[in-house]
Amino acid sequence: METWLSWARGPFFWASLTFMFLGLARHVFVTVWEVVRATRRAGDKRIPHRKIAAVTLAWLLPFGKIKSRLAFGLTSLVFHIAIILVPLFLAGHVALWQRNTGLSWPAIPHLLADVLTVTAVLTAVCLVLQRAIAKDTRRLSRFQDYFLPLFIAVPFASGFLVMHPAWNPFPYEPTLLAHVISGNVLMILLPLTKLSHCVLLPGTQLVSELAWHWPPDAGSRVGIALGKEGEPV
Amino acid sequence: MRSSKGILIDTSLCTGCEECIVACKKENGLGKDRPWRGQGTIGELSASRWSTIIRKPGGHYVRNQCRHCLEPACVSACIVGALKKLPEGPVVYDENRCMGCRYCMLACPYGVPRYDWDRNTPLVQKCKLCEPRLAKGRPPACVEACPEKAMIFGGRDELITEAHRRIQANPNRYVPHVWGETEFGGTAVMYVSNISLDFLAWKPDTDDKSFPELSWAALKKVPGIVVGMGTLMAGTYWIIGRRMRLAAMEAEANKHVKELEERGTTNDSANEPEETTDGKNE
Amino acid sequence: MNRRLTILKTILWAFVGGLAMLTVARFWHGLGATTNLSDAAPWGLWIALDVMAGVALAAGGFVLAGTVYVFGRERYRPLVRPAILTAFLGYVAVAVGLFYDLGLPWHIWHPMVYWQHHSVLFEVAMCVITYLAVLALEFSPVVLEHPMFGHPMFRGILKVLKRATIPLVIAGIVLSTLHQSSLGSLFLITPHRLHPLWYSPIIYVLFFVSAVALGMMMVSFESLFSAFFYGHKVRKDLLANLGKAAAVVLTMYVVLRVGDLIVRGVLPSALDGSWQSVLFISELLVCAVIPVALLLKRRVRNSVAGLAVCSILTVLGMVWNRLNVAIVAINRPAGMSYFPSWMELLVSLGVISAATLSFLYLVEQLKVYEERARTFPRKPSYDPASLHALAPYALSTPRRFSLAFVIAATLVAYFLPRDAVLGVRPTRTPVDAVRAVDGLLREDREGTTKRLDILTAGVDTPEVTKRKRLFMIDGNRDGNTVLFDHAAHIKRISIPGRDSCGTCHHLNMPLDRNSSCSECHRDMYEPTDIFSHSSHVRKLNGNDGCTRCHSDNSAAKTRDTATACSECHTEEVAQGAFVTSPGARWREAPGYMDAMHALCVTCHQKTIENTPERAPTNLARCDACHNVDHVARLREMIPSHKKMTPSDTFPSRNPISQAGRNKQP
Repeated sequence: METWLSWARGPFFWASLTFMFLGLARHVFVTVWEVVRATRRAGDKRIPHRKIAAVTLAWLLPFGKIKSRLAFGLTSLVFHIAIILVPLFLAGHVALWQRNTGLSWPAIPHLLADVLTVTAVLTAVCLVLQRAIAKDTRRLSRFQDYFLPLFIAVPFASGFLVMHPAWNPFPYEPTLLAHVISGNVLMILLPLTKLSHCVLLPGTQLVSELAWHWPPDAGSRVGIALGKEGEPV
Repeated sequence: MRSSKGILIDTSLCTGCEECIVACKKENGLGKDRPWRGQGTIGELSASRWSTIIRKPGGHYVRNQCRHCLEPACVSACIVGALKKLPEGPVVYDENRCMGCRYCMLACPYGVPRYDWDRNTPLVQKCKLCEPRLAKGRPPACVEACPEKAMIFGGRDELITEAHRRIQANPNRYVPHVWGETEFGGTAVMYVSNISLDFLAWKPDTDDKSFPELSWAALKKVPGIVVGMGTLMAGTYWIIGRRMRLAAMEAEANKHVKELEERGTTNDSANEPEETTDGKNE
Repeated sequence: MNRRLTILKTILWAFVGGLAMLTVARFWHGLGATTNLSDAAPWGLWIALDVMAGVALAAGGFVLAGTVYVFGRERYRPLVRPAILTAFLGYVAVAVGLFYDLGLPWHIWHPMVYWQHHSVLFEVAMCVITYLAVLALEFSPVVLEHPMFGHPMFRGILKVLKRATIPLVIAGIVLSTLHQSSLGSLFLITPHRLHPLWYSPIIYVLFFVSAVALGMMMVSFESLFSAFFYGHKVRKDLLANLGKAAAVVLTMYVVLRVGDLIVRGVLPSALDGSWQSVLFISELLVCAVIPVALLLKRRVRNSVAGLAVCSILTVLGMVWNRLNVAIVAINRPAGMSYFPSWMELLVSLGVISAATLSFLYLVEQLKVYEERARTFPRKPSYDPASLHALAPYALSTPRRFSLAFVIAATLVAYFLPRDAVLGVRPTRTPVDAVRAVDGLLREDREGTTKRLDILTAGVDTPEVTKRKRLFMIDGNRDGNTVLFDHAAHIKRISIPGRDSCGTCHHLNMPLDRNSSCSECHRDMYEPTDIFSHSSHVRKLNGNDGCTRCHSDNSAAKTRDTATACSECHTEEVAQGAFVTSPGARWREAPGYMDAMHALCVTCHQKTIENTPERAPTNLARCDACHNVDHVARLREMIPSHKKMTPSDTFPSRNPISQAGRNKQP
């Protein structure tokens, strides 16, 4: 068990971290590259940059969207806040970074972390349920869309159990191992699945906005070029 | 180098107590020895151990440290002059100049300079004969610390006299040789000993030629090569260019002659361009 | 783009990806973390391959430029541009390689400011820097010809540059002559290090001549290379002639090399069957003898395969030669060796890959070869009417290459050793357990000095000896061990009626009342972490027991916030122990050496204070316990011992270097 733990915290962790960072960087690079090429090819000088920037920004700040579907939007917002804050600012994680690399940053209070962790797990389940219940979203959804939120909940749930051994029905070390491995797998999945929207969101919006201003049918060509032909938008 | 200072080590007096190493570490702020894979045993010279004691069977203890050669190979090898031989004797290191090429480590006939392999801003580490102490008129820390007076500090010439005096006074005790008197052009740290110290250098009996002379033999040819090669190439270019120009002119002239000849006769101009190109190619 | 080229570029990009990851490790944690360099091997693969071989491989630039511009051999003009480009990128790669190798690479400009003209390396550096500038100027017309630089200013510069060609070429030849030879002169100062089969007073001549030959063969190698990948027509006539010229120079090299050995009288050692002689002969065969033998045949010279074989052999052989001079044939202290780490190798390959990618890019963009390099037609720009644009295959290349890059970097990250990720940590020096041996107590007649010794057959000394059962303690200094009379110590220290093991065995574990010291002090020099989290979890009934140590639920559950060991483990420190308190947080046991010294030396010093008449056996003298004379006999008793050779000494002179030296002028 100790060997497995040191493997999951050692080489497997470094490799996953590298893959996540470089993979996401690659997504950004390829998108920018292709957008630049596509706009150049399009030769359309009348692209309304200002408007595109405004729309992209509006997309990034989710207030408008929340209004349109209040329950789903709020759940999603809380979910996102929780899954970004906890892994980065949990005191235990910061302490690990500090011990191994000397880097350190402020952590969030323990109680807040606990609350956010529970919220992350609950909202993940809610998101999946909402998706499954509503007819229109169900039609658009693939396996990935159900699987990913539930999978994101795994490191959070196991992490919570590790932190609160009194409520943990499983032995300590296997729980910790599950936590570390699921976290690593998540990092690997980030660039490979639609989770890459964490860096691609501004870019995707930009691409689709650009596409709207192109001559007829050019948008689908961009889709073909991006290798996302036939995928739901 | 009359004012040059040095150390005379009498290994027959050394008891291996390592007080000198403790003093050296304290004086230079070297810290604890830490073993790592690039090192044979922890007692060897290392970045945190500028002087050490080699233990030989029979209760013999031989101090190893920078010899502060009179004509140091490391100083002549250093690309930026980060290593300097001071007239007072020490070979000192300027970390602000060093760029970390490690040529000095390769050049040293005693294999003394060490490197901070485990740091990302590594420096060359070696004994500096306590140069700051010398400037204040005090002997090096190791000499001062030695409880057995196995090391003495002083002017190099006096030390050599003293060394020979000891050997003559006690011919049965000492090997009749002063290590460092002539080796590699002479060193500032010298030894008299009751065992042979040839193991301290790779080539114990060189013909006492200093290493800098070896590379200077090639370096002094540089101006000659610059001038010689430059002239040779420019000359070749000029001669060959001239020959080509002449050939081209000749071809031109031939063409004219031919044209003149052919003006009267039939037209047969197919050969002409080929001839000119041939001329150019030669 | 054709398939071959795509595969090649994908592989090259993968190497560059690996390089990127290693760059982080190299500059974050230093040379010791990523290389196998050490005090015994100050120069390694990066100097040998990236610098020494790299410069030699780039020799084609000055050879070809000289042939065409100075000697007026206009036929070879098509080969000049690729040769100069190779040379330029080669020297850039040298500079980049140096950046990895130098300890303080941000001081790389120092030679230009701090001149030290007694250093051969200084001359090399200055020549390389200047020549890099010359090469840049020599190649810049090719760049300026590109339509992008249509501005009259650029045209003006182009004109000036073209006029300056001849002076530039001559300067290039002079500089190359200097530094190609000086790379050999670097080793003139290492007669003690370099094996006599390679060390020669004329090593610079050998380096220069071999560089000229190598330059020619490299030119033919790279034109065959680009012909293979871009489908150019091979100029067999030119390459055959070049091969012939190279054969002449290579023959010259062999004659010089062997002649030098004969003059110095080292020739016998080239044939004596030692590994160095095998190395020498195989090197000479591969780099010169076999290629010359092949090139002399007209049939070989005129075939693409023949030329390819010859040029690859020479290139490999000459690289091998440079590696031998810089790494393989170098003397090291006894017991020390050097073999590059995989990270060193990958960095070298990565730099070469990056240079190759730059070469391919420039060849595709500029008119380096007479034939255009791009084998696919330029795509038309977007046409709204026909909707013809955005062909997927053109866009797929950055995707493919970046994927190769990312995957390679991830793989490298996975296989990075611990040191390269977290920084260099001291190596572990495990402690051998104490073992019992039959020994002797030697005492001279007066009984003033006592000495322990191993019992060996046929002891016959004037001293009084007594047979004893002794403990042999690992005293790792120079492979030494310490003999210890445990029985005598028990007798001396024990207090009647009380168990006094705890006096020395200060942290008796519950089940083992007199646990050995190496149980906790497991490393000879470094502190050992003796805390085991999992055994505490087991002992404290799993999850329920966490709060026993991690009582503060609002703090991160780290070691620093947990309860101190001494709060629970109160009984393990025995009554009347000599070492009373190991500290409140004794999770780390000090190194074995420190622990033993602290125990033995301190206690004995106390004894001396109480009974000054026993002072002569004072333990302040190292050899009171660490007797060097025991080493040889003890070594036989513990054959498995790791570090038995005292390696602060140098290898005994070998007969070869002796012979070589005597013949030197």
